[in-house]
Amino acid sequence: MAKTLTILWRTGSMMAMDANVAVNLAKAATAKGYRVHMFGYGEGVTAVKKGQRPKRFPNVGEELEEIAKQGVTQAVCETCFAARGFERGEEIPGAKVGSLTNDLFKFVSESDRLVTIAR
Amino acid sequence: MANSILVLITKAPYGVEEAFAGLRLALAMGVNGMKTTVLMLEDGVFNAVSTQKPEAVRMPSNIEATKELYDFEIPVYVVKEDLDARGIPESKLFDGLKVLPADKLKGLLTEHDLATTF
Repeated sequence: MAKTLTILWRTGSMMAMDANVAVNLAKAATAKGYRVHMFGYGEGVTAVKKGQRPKRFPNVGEELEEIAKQGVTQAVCETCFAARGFERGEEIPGAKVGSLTNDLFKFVSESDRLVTIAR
Repeated sequence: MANSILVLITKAPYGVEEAFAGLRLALAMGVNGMKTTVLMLEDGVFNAVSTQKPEAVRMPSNIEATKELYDFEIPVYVVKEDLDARGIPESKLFDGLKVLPADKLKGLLTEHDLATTF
């Protein structure tokens, strides 16, 4: 049975490479045969905002959308999402606006490894 | 499959949201029945001070967020040496916290399947 990794990331889509690192880690783990869950908490929720248009940097929203199609499960904290003025429907396809209690708990309880990416 | 998680709180309260976020994550795991433990270390020990006044900065109370964990029997440890290094006497801590010597940290870590840091 494939091992499961959860990536918990808490920094935003801009100003740091953390979200990009999270995406790259998810890709690498998937390539190694891991089942991967990702959960955005705090500023991390901004990475799943639909319609990002960075001029010079990788578009982490598009990258997350792409790896979601490859089976990487993604959810973000609804409280954190709403606190930043985002509403359901503003998230990229493949990401779920969920909760710590339901989604993150499920991810963690299924996991063999948990990696936290934050500052 | 993980049955337990250790939540490390390394940041002081207020100013940044990290400590509060870690306490809420611990609550979310504990309410689902997962064995959950919180460890305050480094600057995280400032969260243990009983005389915090979060209303002064209009922020939610990290003391209340910590005490909510007690309802789900989530133990909260504070590292003794990190208290000492910051001049915080144990008499200054709020109730329910457990002071832990640093040489016990390894044992606490190995008791849990997963760990996350705030």
